[in-house]
Amino acid sequence: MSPKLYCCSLLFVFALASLGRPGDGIAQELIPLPSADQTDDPFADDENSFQDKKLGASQDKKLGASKKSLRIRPLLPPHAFDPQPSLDRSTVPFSLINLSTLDRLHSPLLRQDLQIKGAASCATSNCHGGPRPGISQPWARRGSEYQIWVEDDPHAQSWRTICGNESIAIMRRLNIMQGDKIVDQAGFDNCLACHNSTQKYDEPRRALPSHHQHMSSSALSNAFKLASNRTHSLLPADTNTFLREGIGCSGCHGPSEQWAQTHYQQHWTPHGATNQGFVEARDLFVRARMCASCHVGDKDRDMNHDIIAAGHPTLRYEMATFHAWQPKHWRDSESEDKTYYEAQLWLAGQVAATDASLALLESRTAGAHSVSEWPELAAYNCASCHHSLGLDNSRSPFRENRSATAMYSQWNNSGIRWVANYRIETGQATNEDHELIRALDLVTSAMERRPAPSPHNVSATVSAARAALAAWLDGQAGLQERSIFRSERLGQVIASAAGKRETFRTWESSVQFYLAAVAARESWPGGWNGNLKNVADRMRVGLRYPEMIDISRYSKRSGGRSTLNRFETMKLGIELAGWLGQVQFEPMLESNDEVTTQQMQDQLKQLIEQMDQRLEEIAKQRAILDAKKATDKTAEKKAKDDEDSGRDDEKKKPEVDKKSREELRKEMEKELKALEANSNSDQ
Amino acid sequence: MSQQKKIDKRTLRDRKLLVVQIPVLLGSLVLSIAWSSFAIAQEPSKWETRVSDPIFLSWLRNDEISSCVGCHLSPSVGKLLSGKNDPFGTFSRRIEMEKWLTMDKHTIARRRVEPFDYNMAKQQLEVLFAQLDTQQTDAIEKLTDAGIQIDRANVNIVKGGTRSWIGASNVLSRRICDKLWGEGNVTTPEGYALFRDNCLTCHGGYESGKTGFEFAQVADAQLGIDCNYCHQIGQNDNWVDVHDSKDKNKWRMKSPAEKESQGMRDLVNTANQASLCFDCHVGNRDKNMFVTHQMYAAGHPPIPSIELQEFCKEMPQHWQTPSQLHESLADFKGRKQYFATNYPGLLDSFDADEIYWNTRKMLVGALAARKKTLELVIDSADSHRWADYSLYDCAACHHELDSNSYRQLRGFPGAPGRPRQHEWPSALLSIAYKFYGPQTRSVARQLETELETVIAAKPFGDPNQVRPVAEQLGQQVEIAIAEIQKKVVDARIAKIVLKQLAMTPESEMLTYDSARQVVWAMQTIVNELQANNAAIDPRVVAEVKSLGDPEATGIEAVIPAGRAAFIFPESLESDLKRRADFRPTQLAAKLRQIGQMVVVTNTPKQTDEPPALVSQRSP
Repeated sequence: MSPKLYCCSLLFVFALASLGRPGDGIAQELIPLPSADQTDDPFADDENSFQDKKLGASQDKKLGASKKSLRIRPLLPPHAFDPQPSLDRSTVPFSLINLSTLDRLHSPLLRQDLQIKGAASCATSNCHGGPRPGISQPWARRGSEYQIWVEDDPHAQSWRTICGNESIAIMRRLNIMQGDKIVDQAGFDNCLACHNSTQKYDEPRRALPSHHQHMSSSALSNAFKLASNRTHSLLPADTNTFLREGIGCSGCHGPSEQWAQTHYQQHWTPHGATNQGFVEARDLFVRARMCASCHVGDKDRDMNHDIIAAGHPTLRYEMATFHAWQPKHWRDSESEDKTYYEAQLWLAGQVAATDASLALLESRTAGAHSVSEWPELAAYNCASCHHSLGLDNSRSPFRENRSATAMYSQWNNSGIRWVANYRIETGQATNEDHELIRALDLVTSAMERRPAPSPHNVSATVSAARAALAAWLDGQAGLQERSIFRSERLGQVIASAAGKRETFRTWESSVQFYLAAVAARESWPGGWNGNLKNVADRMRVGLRYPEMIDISRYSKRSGGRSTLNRFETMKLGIELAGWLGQVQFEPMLESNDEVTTQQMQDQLKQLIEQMDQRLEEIAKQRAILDAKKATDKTAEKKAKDDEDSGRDDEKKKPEVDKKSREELRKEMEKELKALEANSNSDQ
Repeated sequence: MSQQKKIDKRTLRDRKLLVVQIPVLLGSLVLSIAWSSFAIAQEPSKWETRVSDPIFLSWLRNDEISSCVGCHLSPSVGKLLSGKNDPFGTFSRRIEMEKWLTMDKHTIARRRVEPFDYNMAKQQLEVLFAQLDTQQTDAIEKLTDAGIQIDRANVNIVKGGTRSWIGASNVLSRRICDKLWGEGNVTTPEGYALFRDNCLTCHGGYESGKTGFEFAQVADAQLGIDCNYCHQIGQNDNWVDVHDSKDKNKWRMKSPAEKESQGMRDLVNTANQASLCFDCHVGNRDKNMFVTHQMYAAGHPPIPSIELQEFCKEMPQHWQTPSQLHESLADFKGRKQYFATNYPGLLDSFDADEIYWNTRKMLVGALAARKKTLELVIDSADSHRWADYSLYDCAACHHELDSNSYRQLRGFPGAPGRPRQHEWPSALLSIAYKFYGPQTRSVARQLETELETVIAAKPFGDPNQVRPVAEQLGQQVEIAIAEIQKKVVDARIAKIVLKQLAMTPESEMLTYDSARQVVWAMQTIVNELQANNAAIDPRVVAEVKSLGDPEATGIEAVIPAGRAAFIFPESLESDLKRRADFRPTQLAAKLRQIGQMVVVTNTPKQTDEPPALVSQRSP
């Protein structure tokens, strides 16, 4: 399916809605929509002056910038982004669905206006609740989706997960629950956003007037916030009637209010059904983005550092891997073309993960979600802070700028960078490739600029990066890769990445490297179980994947654990990639701090040894000299004494007191005894 | 790869060797010092040690210091080496310089961090060798003239001396500078200026405008913090002549304010002293004395938590404690007046010898440390300085991620996932607040809770919310310091404080630093109880002393203090490991046992808080 078709499907418009909102802090600021002519330096606009600008005069300018963003997407109806002319203080410029980004792929999942129906509504035996293949109807290929989901699919267990003791413990730590009562509805809804597919615990839209149906995400989050700030007496209906089913059909396929009754009809086609709330999951890029909105996060759901600290595992999404694990209740037409299928899944996953992580980050900068508090530590690489302190420096992911701030996570953007870099290296790059890399770099540097980076600066770089990614996918680069990206090509991308130290700098990036190599397994010489499997397995075990939460020991050798350090990972990576393409070593420019320090210490030690030897020699020589002098002196003295006696002391004795040497010495003895006594009493 | 392995192996071997060598070296050095000071009366071998010590000799060449040496080292020697008269005063034991020059690490604070590379190190040693012989010869001649026989054969600087002149910490410092300002940059005048402005504020006593801190002067630079840095206010040196004039006893009786007007800093005041020490040992952003997270990440060792009395003792303390001074002044008529002038409000109904000065110092220090940490927060509240990670507890982030780890099992104080303030000041603070008085302490406690809440409200806290609370709390702590300085700590209160410390819950000792604060404080009290021959269960004494045994509690109470000890690398390495491995469970159990054994006599009733922590004489 071409991107043009996608664009055609985007005929619906989410107008910028208005909602009265409390005038406080960051949320009050306008956030410019992605702009095509983003200046080179997103920090040019000093954050303080940014903050100080009042809405009003500066507003038009920013909205002007948002207008410009339209130019890169001429296929979109112009009114999609047109701000309402009478924009006032209560207007929320942060659109829930931003069609200039990849939101358009999975937009039904972001809609709050459509009714969600439970999986049971799909499960009649004539529809999706038929018998499983191989049970009573070995030939059945349609109609058994519900059965496969409910019996095998982990998504169906998601409600059970959230009711488990561990989840309850997490929610208690987060003060979402006290005892067995939910006390923070908004917080709980944030959990439900990914753990349950039907209406939320305290679905805010039900509390809002109908004209707020099409609203922006900030407006919605504010509604969330308002709801949570109200002293909210729960109605029995709120607490007891929502459907608990885990991630059911609508969680992935979209709210079915508008298409439930039509999607089986002859004239109905999934093309263009996105605006009815149907997720066109048949397209791998749509599918990947749909999965990512929970497995990475999205603007309306945020699994943040607080939740991780309370015990939730970190999210480590990689589409090809997860897709392979998933019990499938569908068949993909591409799946026969194996070298194409897995590679495309990997690529779609990388694009989706990058976009989802950016969408999430953008909503975090705006404080758009009730659980978001800036700066959001979950956006960073866990291991950049979480490691015990020691003298072993090689583990700490130093950067050139030595800013010693946390590193922006590489988990979700390594793969797409490798692809773009490969295109650049092989001379296939278009402008979009360069723009994408640059835009992602700017996000990273904005996030790492200081411990609590300016949300405004980050937000600007993030919208630019989302736009750049959409432009990449829709442009020549994306079109090309969507047709030619097969596992051979993925192998070459991996080989290109393997020669770079950057690839193995963090555990995150290293594991992504391993997963990418596995996604290319259709092109492994000798097949899945050939020579490469051995190397890949060593890498997996050494990186301790999938023990995903205990990762911080990467690149530190710690006793009893078979962990790889950075150099060993790189060595294995090169060994592995060597089978897949040509690996070019990056010259070892980066100095290895540990080695340099050790060399300096060794040199110093040698120097001190040399000097000590010299000192000993000097001492020996001096002893000989002194002995000689002493004998000479006594002889001299004798001679002098014979000549004149009693004249020699006068010059050298400037002492004023007339104490004799003996007296002086006694006094000293006394004092030093006192000193001794004192220092003893101090001990 | 194989090269890497080789290096690893070699490092390991070297470290093993060092581990064996260093204790032997240090041990022998300490032994020789101890033995020589003991045996000085019979054999003047001490003089050979001194004359062999390049640091001792180097300080003697310093103009200002040599004039201090004249009085504050043993009179004969001081006079001898400085050529000055010997104005022996009632207040001086004349061992101040002895302790400071030969044992105190502050003397070489700068030397140990000069960012020397191999060539500079070599050059330094060459210069040392060239000069040493002359200096030693001069000193020996003078000593010989004074009738002290020096065995020249024992005068040398073999091994220990070389190592104290240049060592591993110089390499560490150089690596830190390389990382912060670019490879080799610190060996340019501009790069060294950065080093001066950011590092020598603490390591060299540099203040803006002070001379002697330029790159050109590195080869001949002063070795560390000098006397005036602590004892003099700025350039006002009027006090120098007055304090050793004929009227010196009149000078002693002057009020602290008068002395300060003449330029002598009032260090008799415990809070003043604490504030001065904590400028470096906690931090002071106004004076550019602040170890940023960037510095830590480049390799700076963590600044340890500080218990004032313990650290003073370990310097080693070159001044007399108030109780020692009280004893020394036994025959001095003005004794009572002196104490009344210097400790206003404290001794109205008590005599100085009834007061547990060290315990008192520990309590004042706890509050003063809190004050400094709050000042750091306040000074960091503008957006460009805010959220430097070093403002937060290291262990909040720096821990391995393990499922079912101790951290997870023990639960979370406050909001999960939010970096907390440094925890160590609060370990002793709760006791100090109790001592502060029931009416006012609740205000302080409430503000503490409020501050904790605003810091946890979002990651790192919002500086605009944090600042006003920190300022209010700071004012409250200041009042508390003023009040606590007027309150009497006697034997009974010392015991109550000891008992209370023993009841410190595990939740207040989650980090190694906070737990060590508790251990130090308890040891301070027990030492003082013993020194005063107070009635105390010998089991308590034994137990408290064993609290600092890493085998038993995970806490190493001995700090690498004193000139002979090196922080980097061995001490630091084991310290970091202990931090990472620390679990308070064992310690807490031991403390509970001790708490049960401590008997507080004359206590009317056992309540939750010390009932009579007021300055009234016990019946």
